Amino acid sequence: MTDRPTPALPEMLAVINPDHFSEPFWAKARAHVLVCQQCTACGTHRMPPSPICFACQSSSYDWDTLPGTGTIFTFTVTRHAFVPYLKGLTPYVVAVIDLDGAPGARLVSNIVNGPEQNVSIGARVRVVWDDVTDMVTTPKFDIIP
Amino acid sequence: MGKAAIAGVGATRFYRRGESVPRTVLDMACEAIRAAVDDAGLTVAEIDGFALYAHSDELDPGRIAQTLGIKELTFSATLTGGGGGSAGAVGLAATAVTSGQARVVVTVMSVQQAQHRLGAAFAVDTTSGGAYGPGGGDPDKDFVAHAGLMAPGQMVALLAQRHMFEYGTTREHFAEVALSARLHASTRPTALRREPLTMEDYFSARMISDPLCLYDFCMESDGAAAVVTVSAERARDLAQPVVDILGAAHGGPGRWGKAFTWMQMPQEYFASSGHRSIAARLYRAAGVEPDDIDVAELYDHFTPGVIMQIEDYGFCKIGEGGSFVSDGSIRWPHGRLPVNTHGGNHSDAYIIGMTHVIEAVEQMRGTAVNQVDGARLALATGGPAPIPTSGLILAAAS
Repeated sequence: MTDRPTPALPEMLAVINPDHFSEPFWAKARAHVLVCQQCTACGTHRMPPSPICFACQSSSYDWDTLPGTGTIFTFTVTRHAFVPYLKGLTPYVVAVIDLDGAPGARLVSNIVNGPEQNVSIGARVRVVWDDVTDMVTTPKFDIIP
Repeated sequence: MGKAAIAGVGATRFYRRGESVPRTVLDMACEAIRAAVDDAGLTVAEIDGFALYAHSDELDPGRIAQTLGIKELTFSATLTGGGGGSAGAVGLAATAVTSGQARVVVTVMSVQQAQHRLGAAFAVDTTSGGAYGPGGGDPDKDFVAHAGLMAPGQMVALLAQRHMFEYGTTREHFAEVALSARLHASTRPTALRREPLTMEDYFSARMISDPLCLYDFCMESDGAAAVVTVSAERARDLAQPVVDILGAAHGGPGRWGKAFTWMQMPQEYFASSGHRSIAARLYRAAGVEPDDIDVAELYDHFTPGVIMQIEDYGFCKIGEGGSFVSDGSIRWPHGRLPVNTHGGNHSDAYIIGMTHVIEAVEQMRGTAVNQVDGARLALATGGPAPIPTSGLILAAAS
């Protein structure tokens, strides 16, 4: 598991702190499966994972496997290295992505493997798995040609 | 219940980031507090309350009280959240005073960015290792940190991009917020940035995180600022012209929540300052309307946030903030709504919003450097940030 997209951001950014509710998301990510928490009472999807449904306050939920595609809701091309460990890795594109199959739930990620000029609000994207370490895989996205 | 008033304001000189060393956060806080009670015609011995915001271990009321030698503290509270609470903390002070819990309540902010820079406030702490290493942390942060999203400016850039997409807001509009702030600061001896700033300067500046360039970001600076709140009745016997607290509100919709550190806000108000519901409550509490406001000191961490607040506080329709600023409306002295007449966080100093409250007070006293002629009502706001955000309306004594 050494596939990394371009740019490959530093490992320390993906040192994660999962709790009881978010651990299944990261476990599925390691298996390259994109899931979203879904309330079994009212069907509302939510992200990031949380103990209770914000729409109906039920604490019962399940994990919905998503198709892995989505639409760019907004983005920024970061050109300044805000911390020293990002020097040499700019520019990189941070995007907020509306996920197909999980209305209202968004993922914050990067648009990878292509020039930043191709990025726009409304562009269709698909998940690309970033195997950052043996323990951590994060979801990134590239533009669907 | 009676009304509350702001009786005194005070501040240290302002420093560029880190240049206040070897002074300390505590030292600067105490200087600002002493200046504010002096201004009011009160003494440190009379202080019996603290109403703070943006909790920091360095700015703890217990430590301030032991250092200043406060006689007896009867009220001490901090609004939860961060810079969103700067205006609301004064509302908290007013609550303490009008409920009889305290008589002389201090709100203070002191900041020194020598080691901790707020520009990358959400950067991964490299000393903790996470659950798959040593240490612990916030599981929500895992969903943004891996993308290299760590700076408030990047986060606001995401909202700004969406605002441009939905409403046609342009970089020229953002520029006008920076240019007008600089223009206002140019007349103030205490402002950190007074040299002229032109549209050419703005467009030749380096991009930081598109669509935001260097001049869309506020400064990182050091210093302290304080205000003293008392009952309106008491204020009438003190040293300064009375500035009444006409209304204060804080909070926000639950699903604004952690806002741009989280990005799950409903689409309806995603590209906003998060202040819309606060504005409605604030005007209701004060019994006034947007048209009644003579001057607005709007927390300006990044230029788009000012445009979004102009919309959310009802000075124009949602989505029209860009065109509102483009015709000089926010420039002192001729604009119909002078905004950040002190130069704001962009050009005066970044003391996490307290300078906005102080400027609103000076405008109501009629003593501001860039005084708005005949101003009777001033709006001051806290940062467009995670909840609670907040607003405050002050009135010149009649």
